[in-house]
Amino acid sequence: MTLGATWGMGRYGGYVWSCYGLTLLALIFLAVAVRRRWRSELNLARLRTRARGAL
Amino acid sequence: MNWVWFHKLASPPFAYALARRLRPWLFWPAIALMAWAAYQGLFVVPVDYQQGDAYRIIYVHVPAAAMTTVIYSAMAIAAAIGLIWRMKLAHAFAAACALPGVVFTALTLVTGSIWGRPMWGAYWVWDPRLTSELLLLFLYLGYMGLRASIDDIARADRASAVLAILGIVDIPIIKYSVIWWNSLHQGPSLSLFHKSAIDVSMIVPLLVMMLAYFLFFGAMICDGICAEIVKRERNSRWLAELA
Repeated sequence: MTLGATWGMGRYGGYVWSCYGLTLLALIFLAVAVRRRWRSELNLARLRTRARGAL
Repeated sequence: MNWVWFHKLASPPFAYALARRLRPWLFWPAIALMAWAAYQGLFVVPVDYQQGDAYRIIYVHVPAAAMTTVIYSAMAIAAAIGLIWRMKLAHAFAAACALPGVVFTALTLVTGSIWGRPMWGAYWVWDPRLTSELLLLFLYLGYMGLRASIDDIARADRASAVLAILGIVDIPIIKYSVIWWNSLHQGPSLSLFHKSAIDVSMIVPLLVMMLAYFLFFGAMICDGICAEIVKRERNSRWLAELA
């Protein structure tokens, strides 16, 4: 199978590759978003702890 | 039967430590299985005699669609547990389900639309399956919006739990819409009780991708529940020591 045929997938290449690409982007977004939310909540908690310690 | 382990789950420090420990054990196998299943779906499985190569989209679409209902059911059950037994961690679990639910539902609708264009000749039709899935997306967004609009966490938990429980009615509608009504969407190809309509060579990567999505969702829940625990335990001593 040539690279062109693999990429083209009959005449459905655009549909198939765009679905896989969008899935990859969506899963990366999800992984980053939940991780960032946890980190930001933890940073807030750290700031609170430091602020309490300073009082 | 010893229920100590179950009661321990209701303890925020225990649940937090457990989620942190579990996360890599779910995340990295999910990535490995996803990569294998995507490779199989794109390059190895044979071409479908009717749909041609367009059917390869099912390897990302069907597992995402399955996750949307699994996640919503888990969210509604957790919300009910939180509401009935006033278990804060159940509400935290329900809240952590919402974002993965939105992402998987949006992914299902978008990949389904892209598949629909060459197969049905349209990106969107007001078909019962598609419409009930769109309603599910609005339920997830409504749940998140309701939580965000209430400052008091306990009130937000209660209000959003009621919405999650009421919304569960959409799950059987999604599942049986292709049976109850004349639907353009194809009927169920996978069943626990009947022989699959899909050939074995095609079904194995599909099942592996489903498992991968499930593990990935588990990893996302671990991070999400940690964020929720930190938010709810801001003034507790154990978190101050951890932070």
